[in-house]
This record gives sequence, C-alpha cells and structure tokens, in this order.
Amino acid sequence: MPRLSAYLALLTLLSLCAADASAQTAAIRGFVTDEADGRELGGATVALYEISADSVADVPAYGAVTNSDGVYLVSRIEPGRYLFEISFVGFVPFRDTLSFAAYDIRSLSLELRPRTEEMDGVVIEEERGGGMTDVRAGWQTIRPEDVDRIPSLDISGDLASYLSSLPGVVSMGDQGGRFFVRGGEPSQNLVLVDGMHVYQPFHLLGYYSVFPTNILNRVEFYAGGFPSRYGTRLSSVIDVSTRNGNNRRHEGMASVSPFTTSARIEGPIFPGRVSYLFAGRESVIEHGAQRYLARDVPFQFGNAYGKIHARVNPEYEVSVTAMRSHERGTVGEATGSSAPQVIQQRNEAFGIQSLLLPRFYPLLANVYISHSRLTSTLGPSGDPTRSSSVRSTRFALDAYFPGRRIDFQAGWEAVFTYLETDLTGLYQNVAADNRLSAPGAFYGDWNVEVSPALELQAGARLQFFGVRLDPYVEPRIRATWSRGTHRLTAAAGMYQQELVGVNDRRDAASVFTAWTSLRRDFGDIPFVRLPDPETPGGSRIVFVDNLVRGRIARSYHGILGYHGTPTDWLNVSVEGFYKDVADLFFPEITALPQLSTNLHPASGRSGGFETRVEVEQGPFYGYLTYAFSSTRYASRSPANRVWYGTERLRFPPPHDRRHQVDALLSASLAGVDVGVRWAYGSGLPFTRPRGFDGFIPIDDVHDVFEQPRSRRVLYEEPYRGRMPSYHRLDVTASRSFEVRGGELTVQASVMNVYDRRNIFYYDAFTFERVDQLPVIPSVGLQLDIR
Amino acid sequence: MMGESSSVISRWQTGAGGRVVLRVAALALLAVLLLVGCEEEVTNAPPVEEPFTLFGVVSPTSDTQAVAVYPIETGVLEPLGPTLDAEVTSRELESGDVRVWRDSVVADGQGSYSHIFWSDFRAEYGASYRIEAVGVDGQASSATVRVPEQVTVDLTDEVTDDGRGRMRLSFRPGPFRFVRLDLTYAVLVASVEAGECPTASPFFSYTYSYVGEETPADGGWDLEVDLGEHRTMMREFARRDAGNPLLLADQTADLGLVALELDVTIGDEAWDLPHGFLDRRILSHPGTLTNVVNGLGFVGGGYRYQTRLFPSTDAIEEAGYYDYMAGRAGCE
Repeated sequence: MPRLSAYLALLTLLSLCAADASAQTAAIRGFVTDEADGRELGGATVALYEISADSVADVPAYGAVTNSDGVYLVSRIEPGRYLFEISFVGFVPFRDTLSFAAYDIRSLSLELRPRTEEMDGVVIEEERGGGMTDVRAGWQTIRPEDVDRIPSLDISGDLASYLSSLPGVVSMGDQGGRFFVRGGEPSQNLVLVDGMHVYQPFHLLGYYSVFPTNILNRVEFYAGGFPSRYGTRLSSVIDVSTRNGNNRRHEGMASVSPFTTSARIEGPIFPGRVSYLFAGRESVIEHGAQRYLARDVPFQFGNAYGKIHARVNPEYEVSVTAMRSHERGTVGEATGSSAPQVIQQRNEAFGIQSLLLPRFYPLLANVYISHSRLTSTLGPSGDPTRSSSVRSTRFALDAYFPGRRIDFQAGWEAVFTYLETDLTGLYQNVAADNRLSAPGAFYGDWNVEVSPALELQAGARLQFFGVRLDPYVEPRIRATWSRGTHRLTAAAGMYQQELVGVNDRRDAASVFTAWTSLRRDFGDIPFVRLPDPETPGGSRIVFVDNLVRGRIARSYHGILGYHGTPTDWLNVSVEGFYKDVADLFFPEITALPQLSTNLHPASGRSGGFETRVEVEQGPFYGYLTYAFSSTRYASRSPANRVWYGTERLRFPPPHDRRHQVDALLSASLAGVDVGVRWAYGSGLPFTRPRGFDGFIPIDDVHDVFEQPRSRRVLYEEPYRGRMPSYHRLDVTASRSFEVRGGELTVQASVMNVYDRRNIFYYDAFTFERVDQLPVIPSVGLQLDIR
Repeated sequence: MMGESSSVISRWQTGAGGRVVLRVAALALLAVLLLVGCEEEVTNAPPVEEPFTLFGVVSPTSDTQAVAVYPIETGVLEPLGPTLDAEVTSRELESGDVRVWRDSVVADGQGSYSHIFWSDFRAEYGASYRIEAVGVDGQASSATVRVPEQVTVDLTDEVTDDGRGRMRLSFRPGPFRFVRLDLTYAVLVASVEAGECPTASPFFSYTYSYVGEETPADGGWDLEVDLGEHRTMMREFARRDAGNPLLLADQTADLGLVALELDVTIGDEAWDLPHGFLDRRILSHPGTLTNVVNGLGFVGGGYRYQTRLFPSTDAIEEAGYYDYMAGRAGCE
C-alpha cells in the first residue's frame, strides 16, 4: 500500500505541474463542423497570428488541430489581438480578428463551408487520408478515404481490407478473421469503438469486419509503441471513432452485391443539434455468390450499428452508440467420425460518450461508459461442445490539458470483465471456468515541444490487475524529430496483459478463442515434482499449467522510423521494430487428435522492418510496401524435456510470415475509378504430420482390453514445415452516375484474378490442403440518396 | 468506392512521376506474371515407415496375454476397419515355444475398431518373450520383453541416532524397475488414558508414492522410508476425516500407526517412465516410452505385488506415532 500511495501522489503532483497556472493568459475552444452536413471535421488546423500595430505575423503564435470529434482547444494565450484562422483541405478557411484579455476562456464553434469548383476555378482534391507512408513509429491514422482506395470484394468498403494491406499485419488470407500485428497475437490487439471494447471484431470471411467504411470517422492504429492512455494489451491498438449523422438533412444509402446487402440512413432529429445514424449489413452469400462460385463459402454474418449524437450546448456533446454483429461459419470438412465444426459468434456493445469543455478551465474531458459482450460457440451443428463469453463494463475519463509547449493528457479507466468458458473437458485445464477480472488504471502523457524540430511524448500507466495489489508501472515514450521533408520517429514502452485468448494453433483453421484471465492463487493448478538436476536427490515443483503466481504476460516495444518526401509526388517511409514478450502462454501440442490447451509458459520476440513507397501523380495513386519480420517463441515445459530433450523449445509460431509485399495502383480515368492490388505473403509455419496410429497408455500392469484407446497423430517437431506462399491480385472498377435525388455507383470487381490456389490450412487428419477462395467476380450497386 | 472521379487522363501531366509510376507498374505486372505460373504444393514431412504400433503388457500374474496392434498409416485418418492384415506371434526365447495370437476385434463405436491380439498362457517369471506383428507385405514390428523374476521383500527397521524411525525395504532379485511403489499408511486416532485400554477412531488410509526414492543395492533395490515424514500431514487429514477437530487437540489423543500396505508394480528394465511421469498426454507422444523395434508403442513385462508390513514398536514410536496394536495387547 505505501508503494501505491507513492505512485498516486507522484501522478497527482505531475498532473498539477503540467496543468500549471494559466494565470494571466486566455484560452479559446470550440467545435469545427462541416456546414453542409453538420458533421465533425477532425484534422482542421487552428492558428492564431499575433497582430502588431501595422502587420500580422507570418508564423502563428499558437496552434492546434481538431481531434476526431472536431474539437480544438488553445490555451496559455497571452492577452492581445490575434488573427484567428481555421483551415481544412476542401473548405473555405475561416478568419477573424480576436482580442483576448487575461483569464478569457472563449467558446467559438464554427461551420466551414465546402469549396466548390465554381468558387475559385480550381479543382478541389478530395481530402486525402494520412496515406500509406504516413506512419509515425507504428502509429497511423486511417481515414475512410484510405480504406476506400483498397479494392474490396464489396461495393461498401471495410476496415478489414485496409488492415490486411498494411505491412506488418498478418492475416490468414480471405478466411479466418484474425490479425497478427508485428508478431503479436489477435487476443493482444485492443479494439475500441467510441470508447467501447470490442472483442473479435473481424468476420470469418476476411474481407469483412464490424467496421464498414460508411460508419467510420477515423481510426488510430498503433502497431506498437502505443501511449499510456491505452493499456491491458500487449501488441496493438485499433481505436475507431465513428462518425456522427448528418444533422442538416436526411440521407441514406442502399447497396447490393452477391455477398452482402447494406443500408444506411442518417439525418437530424433536431436540426443542427441532434442527429442519428443507423447502418446495417447482412450477408447474402447463400443466395448470391454461392450460386456461381465453384465451392462452398459457408459463412453468414451481419452487423447493425446506430448512433445518436447531440450537441447540447457549445461546451457539451453527448453520443450514444450501439452495435451488434452475428456470425456463423463452418470450418473443416466431415472426415470419418468427425463432423464439420460450426462456429457461431455474437458481438454486442453499447456506450455513452460525453465530451465536455468546462467554462471555468481550459481542458477537454471525455467520459466513457460502455458495456460489451461477446459470445462464441464451436462444435457440430446444433450441438456445440465449446463456448466462451466475455462481458465487460468500462468506465473511463480522459482529460486533455493543452499548453503552449507542454500538453498533458491524463485519465483513468476501470473495466469489469466477466469471463466464462465451457470447453466440455476438451481443453484440459480450463474445462469450465468463470472468473471476474477487474483491471483499472491511471495514466498520464506529457507532450513536450523541446524545440521546433523535436517533440517528445512521455508518459506512464499505473495498471492494476487482479493478480496482485500493487500496480504495474508501464513507462511509455515517443519522439518525433522533423526537419524539412525528413521526419524521424521513435517509440518505446512496456505493456502487460491479464486476459488470455486461448486458441488451438496447430493449424490456421482454428477460429475459436476461449477467453480467460490469470488468477491470483494457484491452489488448483496442476504441478509436477521433477528431479532437480542441480541438487542430487532433490526435487522441485514445476507448474504444468500457465498460472505462475503474480506473473503476467508483458512486452517491451522499440520502434524507429523515417519518413521522407523526396518530391511532391513521392513519399517513402522505413520502420524497424522489436518486440520482446515474456510470460506468454502457448498451448502444448499433443499427439492425440483432440484439442488441448494445456498451456506452457513461453517467451517470444519479434523483429523486422517495413518499407513503404507511395506515389501520387495526377489521376494516379499507388504504393508498394515490403515487410520483413521474424517471430520466434520459446516454450518452457517439463513435457518438452521428455519429448524433445530440452525444456525450452524454440520455434516460429504459426503467424511468422517472413516476407510481405503489397502493391496498389489506382487511377481515375474518364470517370471510372480503377484499382489494382497485388498482395504476397511468404508461407506460414505449421506442424507437419507424418502418419497415424493408435495409443493406449501403458503406465501400469493393466488389462489392455479395459484401457482407454485413441487414435494418434504422429507429428514431426512443432512448426518445422512451411505452407506455400500466398499471393493474389484483386481488381475493381467503379463509376458513379448522378440520378434523380442522389447518386448511383456501379462496381465490378474480381478478387484473386488469376485464381491462385492459396492454402487456408493443411488438414492433419486427411493430409489434404484446404484452399482459400478461388477467383471471385462480383458486381455491386450502391444508391446514395441525398 | 474509389472516390470522386473528378480528374480525367487528359489532365494528367505526364511528368517524371508519371513515368516512374508506369515503370513500377510494368515491373510489378511482370513479377505477378512470373508468380502466376508457380503452383506450390505443401511439402509433406517424411512419412513414418514402420508398419505397426504395439501396446500391451506380458504378465506372469495373468492367464491371458494381450497386445493392441495399430497399423501405422500415412494416408487419410480413417476409422480402423474390422479386419487387420497382420499376424501376431510370441516366441519364448529360452524354450523356443511359438504361439500364434488371435485377433479380438473390439468395436470402439462410430464405425471404428481396435485390434487386440491375445493368447491364453501365463508368462513365466524371468522368461523372455518376443512379440511380433507381421503384415501381409512381410514388414514386421516386434518387442522383446523380459518378465522380471519373482521379487521378495525384506523389512528391517531401525531407530537412528537422530531419533527418527526408519524402515528399510529390500527388493530382490533384480534387475527390474518400479513402475509403481506406493506405501499406504493405515492410521487411526487413539485416545489414551493412563492405565486404561486405548480407544480409537476408525482406520484411515493415506497413500504416498516413493517412485524415484529407491536406491540400487546387490542386484536389486532398497528403499529407506522415514516413517515420520508424513505424520504431521496425516494427523491433519485424520483430524478432518474423523469429523472431530477437537480429537487431536486432546493431549491424550494421538495418531496411531497400525500397519503399512506395500503396493508395487515390478516392471522390466525397458519400462522407464520419463521422470516418473504417468500423465497420459505425456506418454502419448511417440517415442516417449518405446521398446518396439521397427515400430512404435510399448510392450512391458511385469506384475503387481502387494503385501502388508508391520514395523517394530520402537520404530513406530520413534517416528512419533502411538503403537495402537501394542497398546491394545492385553485388552479385551
């Protein structure tokens, strides 16, 4: 407890230092929205230029950028007269002269008017996102425009397509619905949607997630090195902000393709103040694509999303968001005595987000209250043998204190998570398990402008987990150095995770995740007593299970990146990364043809680099990325010593994709948008079977007739095989037509143009490969009603 | 999808950037075309070449010997059918007697069968047998099993200088291995009043494994047992099991040791359980415990032996127990 008190006192002291006296200064804040639809404009630039007697300064004295909610906040403004300017690509800048007195805290919310071609005779480029190369030590901001550039199966784009195109993100291809980020595991990715936790948001058909483009505002994606406001995960962060509905007029969208149908409606409830947005999507594969594809695509899914947003007054906004998705898919084929496995999954989340700009102090506060639930089952149709559910309720407060050279962001969160698994004895150590996990955290991040070229962000997170009373201290740091067209970025940090997502990872087809968490005690944990080689006649206890008291999976990240713009049409970036992971838990591999999640303590490391080249010239846009990574795990288990002669077994895990190449070329020609994307990934490791026999345990003088008998797979050493490489060419072409009351878009696409036989998984029981989807032609229609 | 098509190709200024874009695109297309022609297959691991897996035990305490025989397959994992093209024989190496074993087809459900071959003879102590399964193609897997000699156990107990009651068990003759070496302590909670016959709770039994604590001696094994090693723990167990937590708080009550039950499985030298593991999933790993030549699995030779042991009163009392049997002497 004394240590805890010391931590809290330190955090409070530092908070007070950061939020030091704003005495004698002024502040201004407000919302920036689009005049046409009333939606937030994130990324708009706010600048204040000092006005002297007869001139305006060339360089702004103060500046800020609106966040994803369109909010800006500038504080510590010296009293005086200023030219106040807000600008955003594609909009007419707002300019005004403002005078500030000491202690002024002004509210100024603005609507920017979109430019039109008639206004100034120039072609207005659509707002480009950050772009493929705009990565800052693992951090990338993704906007809907970025996502829409990627050719996708469906006319309505999806975040899953974009994420799978990023170097360093390994997906299992067009099936599986799992993403591994820079060597991390899917259960180590933190996914937030408007502050709500979402578990397993990607559908089994890998082109789709619960995030269609038409609900996205922006996505903050951290492949590593994430700041202290994010925690409880080891690998990455996908922080999704959804957009608000149009609060000026009603509009809608409907689309249809052989894979999905979708619709969206939005509009004002109280014009200018309260808006709604509802969107839904449902798969129609069994009625559409299934009829002309040469093989089964046994996936059904759908998702619904709704958001009501209210701008109560110039200082307060509140939004209520709800989302729901369902999924059903069949994995594997009936062989002999085994039936195909049906996975069903349901995701639900509900949350309230309040945004507050207090009148008495220049800060921006966000309050989040949300509840999320995931349930999944796996087993023969109608008779699932395994189930897992996660229910979590999250309370969080995030406050941002801007300063002239030092910004401070601090907050806390508390998450109450109830986990249930019922694995019908197949997963031996967690056959049935119910537990409550209640992590909480305080965090603070200081953003310091050391010099015009150097910016530092340093922070720490006091993370509380149930396995011990004292908090875990997780330091984080990021740095950016810019000069001219060159930018160097670096990030490092420590991360810890209590939740464990248990998969059977002997093959890529494993789609079921059992969620559990570490326990404080180990009274019921199986252990063995082994002879101690260092003490003659002595012995020692070795835990067979995963849960060693007080230890928790932790990771260290280190990232170094460069970004440059050699010419106005070319951007390049290079990033190197290293992740070290300790106290992981990896399922053992048994020879029995049943899943086992006896977990072995493991450690791992992942390192590599990514290069990105992006060109944009006239109507052409393209990028080429290459990623190299190497991920190795070392599993510790007494069983390993028996089996392989060493207690520490090293191997590449099944997501160790060494080489990745992704290339995109898109163009806008004669009113037709064309996109061509080619992706390549080197083969993934797998454990190769060598044959089958049977097994009877001979551990005493037994009657063989009475002993349990089972079939056995004769594997070679784990993950020594590599599956064939993966590559695919996708092409889309779309054209929009103005129609009465809206716009009609027609898209034709061909996925896997040259019908590459990409392997999904190798069935150890049939010695047969199961391939991913073949060539898929598709045509879609989308009607936007305005 | 692809954004507003506000530009047309005529507006594209074909500058250096455009040429680079076209060149890169051409190179990328070439690379794709090269890869299109490459079909890759999964590289299989070298298949297991041995023909059979055998599991069983040859025992002198059983009138029937049995061995399960599994063909090692490298094709699709299918349920085993009701017939197995194999002949299983045993040869006693000393006498040369050969027996042909019969297949007992056991239905395992879901259309799958196991093939357990059996022969009705009692194995001889100290004899060696070669169990062989031969397929129709002449490929054979075999295991040679030496049944251990009949073992006798001698008990000597002593009170050592350190005041601990010990018991030494000598197992002769070797060679053999202990597959099981259990001692069950039969104890009770006795209430002792001076000058009166003791009264006691019912018996409680607590079993401890001593595998790995034996030491080689004179061609056999010795086991030294510290009789008091588990006394404190057993006293707690007995207090709980007696359902009377006050019983052992009574100064006149104590834990009485009545007898020890020895339960051993004597196995042949090939029966070398890895680090004493008896875990099924550990043993299931191919090669963990095997003595089959040109095949997989394990055929052990052994038998189980049980006897009751009575340490001396001195050893019992020195180990901290009350000798209930001695205390009852002379009582009705």
